[in-house]
Amino acid sequence: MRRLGDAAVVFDGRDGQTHVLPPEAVAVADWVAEFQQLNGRVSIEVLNARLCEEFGIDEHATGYRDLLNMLQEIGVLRA
Amino acid sequence: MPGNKAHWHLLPLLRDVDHVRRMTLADWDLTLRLARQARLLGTIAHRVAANSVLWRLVPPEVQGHLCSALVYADHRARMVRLELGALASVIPSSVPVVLLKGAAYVAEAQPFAAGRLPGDVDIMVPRDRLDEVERALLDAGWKFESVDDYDQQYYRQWSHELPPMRYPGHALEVDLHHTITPVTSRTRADTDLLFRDVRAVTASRYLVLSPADQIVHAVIHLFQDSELDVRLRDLVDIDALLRTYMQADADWCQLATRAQCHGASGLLAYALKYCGLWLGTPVREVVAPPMGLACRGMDWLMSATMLPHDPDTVPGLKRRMGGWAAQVRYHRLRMPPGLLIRHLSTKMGRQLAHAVRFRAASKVRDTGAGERQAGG
Amino acid sequence: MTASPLFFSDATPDRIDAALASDGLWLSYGACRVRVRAEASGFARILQDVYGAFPFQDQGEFADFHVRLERGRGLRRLVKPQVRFSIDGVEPFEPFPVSNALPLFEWGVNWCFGQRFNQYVLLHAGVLGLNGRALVMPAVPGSGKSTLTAALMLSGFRLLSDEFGVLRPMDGRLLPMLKPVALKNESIEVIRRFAPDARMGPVFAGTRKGDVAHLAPNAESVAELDCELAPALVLFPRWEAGAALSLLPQAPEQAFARLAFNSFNYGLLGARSFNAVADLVERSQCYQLVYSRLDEALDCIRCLMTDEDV
Repeated sequence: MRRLGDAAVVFDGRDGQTHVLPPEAVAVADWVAEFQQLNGRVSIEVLNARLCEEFGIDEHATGYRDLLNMLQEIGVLRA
Repeated sequence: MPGNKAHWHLLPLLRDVDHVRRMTLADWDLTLRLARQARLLGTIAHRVAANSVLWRLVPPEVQGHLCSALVYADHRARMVRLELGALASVIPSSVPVVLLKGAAYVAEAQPFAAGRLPGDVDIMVPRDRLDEVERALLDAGWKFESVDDYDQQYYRQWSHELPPMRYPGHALEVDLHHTITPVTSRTRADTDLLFRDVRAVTASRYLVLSPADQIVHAVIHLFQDSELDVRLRDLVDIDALLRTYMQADADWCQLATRAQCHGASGLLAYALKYCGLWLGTPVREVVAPPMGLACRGMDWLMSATMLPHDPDTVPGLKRRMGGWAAQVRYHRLRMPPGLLIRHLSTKMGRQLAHAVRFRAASKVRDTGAGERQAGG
Repeated sequence: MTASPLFFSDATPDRIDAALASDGLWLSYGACRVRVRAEASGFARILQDVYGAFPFQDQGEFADFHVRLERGRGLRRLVKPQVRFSIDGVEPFEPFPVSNALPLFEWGVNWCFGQRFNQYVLLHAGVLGLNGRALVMPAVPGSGKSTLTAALMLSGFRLLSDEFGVLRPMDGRLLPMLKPVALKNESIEVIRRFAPDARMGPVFAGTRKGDVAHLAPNAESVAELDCELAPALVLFPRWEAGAALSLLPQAPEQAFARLAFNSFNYGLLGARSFNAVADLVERSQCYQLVYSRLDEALDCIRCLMTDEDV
């Protein structure tokens, strides 16, 4: 992962794909990294719940769960 | 000095990479062209790059070509791994899948596969599971490259593999085999024996042939599966397999036995002869060396067609004759005589049809249809 | 023995023809050298037009590509003469009418380079230099990239390349791949008006890319064929009829995506190109420029390139 300003690009060596992370996605990835440093690895469900609580988002909004899943898929996040 | 320019530096370089010390920039100029033609540039690049002293002796402009060949070979190997990954999840897990040639070398991460330019992905399954695997691939989205009825019929009736398939958008074709020799060929591989001695690839669902069978398959492929044009690369594969697996006398004896089981003793003898002669492979005389008239014919054919040709001269009569003779020979080895005529004539008829279509298409193109990248 | 003339413009067409028909000519583009042999009448004179400032070499020890332009065979030779491009026996294109030998040659060299120079990241971009630093202009459809590139060369910038931005992963520098600039359709007239003295080859009408004419690289650009530059500015231009000049910063991740997407071999190089393109974006200021008037765009670019903060 290379940070470019507030955004980042990620190279996934497994399939040779490059992913572009806009600043919002990088902010979420950073928050997750910090959260996991304090609390250890937790599931996507738990991460989503805590994230929504923290930022006052409706927990049933799928956007953040999708984002977390995507970050996990490309190897940026381990849950 | 022998006539073909491959003898000047390409073969010496393949025999011993230390030959780099004796090469000038002008020598490299020709050698790069010959090596590229023979699809061996990446292999040579890897061998040179592995020795930092030798690498520094290579002129910078040549280093560029070698780097490029390594990057490209890496990319192709990555495509092979991706294709194998995709196939692994689609083929029913109860089917034993044997990787052949390049796919096997990549999956086993063979040191000699570094820099080697893999062709398509060849896999083999038992004949009684072939329909099931074909169905699974088609259902998952792979498609036959050619829907030509003649091709389909030819492959299914007489070949040891199905027509090539490809998943739309994937870089590589998949050749699905059920054995390693055409069903009509005089050389008849013992398929049961092949499957009996397969080995598992570490941490994967795939299998590979036993070392001796890998060598025998490479030998059969060298003479039979191809049209003998610039097949030096296949000989280099055999050289690498021999150097990797043939350690003790017992290994050589086993190889000879195996070749006999598959009816390929004669072919093995030729392959060993040219490996020793051209590539300096340390070979043992475990099969009777080829002799007589057939041997002289083969000698002529080998040097006329296996080595890359001088890129600055029009292919000579010898090579053109050789190319034609090799094609006839190739079909003779594969098919009974009646079929030979049928295949050649149908093929010619098709070529004519192609030529007509081709001319029509090029007219359309002249008036300005699109083409891919790197234009002006 | 007489000394070789130094430049193409000094050699007589006969001498160029003789070289093309025998051992060939060695053309140096910076990133690569090409040996060309040809049997196409009139080709020598056109080469002289568009490669006039290039060193004339009729001998060489090494070439990256050995290419040939040959007349078509058989009856066609007489009826509707054609010319074929080949490299070591490989013919990547259908034959062209013999009058279009130059476009065929130019496309052919591009093809060789694009296929076989994977030691570098090959961006689809124009690259120019000023004060020892490079400007990269990725080619996006409708950008007017070639027009801008040509105009910049004609107003004091050094031209490194118009088609290929040759990025060296090892040190992030840009290499020249200096070829005649292929101007298409309206651009030809735009550049003729912009610089009536500019050396240009003939207009080839009705190629698959429309009308094409080649602008000759100038002597200043040719003089620095051996010189690579570090990047300073990545600019995404867009030409829009009647638009007021506007310059906006381009978000770096978007600049990255557009550069990578416009590269010939990004996917092929894997992690190497990923890092090289990220380095390029990190080391450069990235902007998008909308323009309708060439002079305004040139002033703006010159300001950006001379601004010490950039």
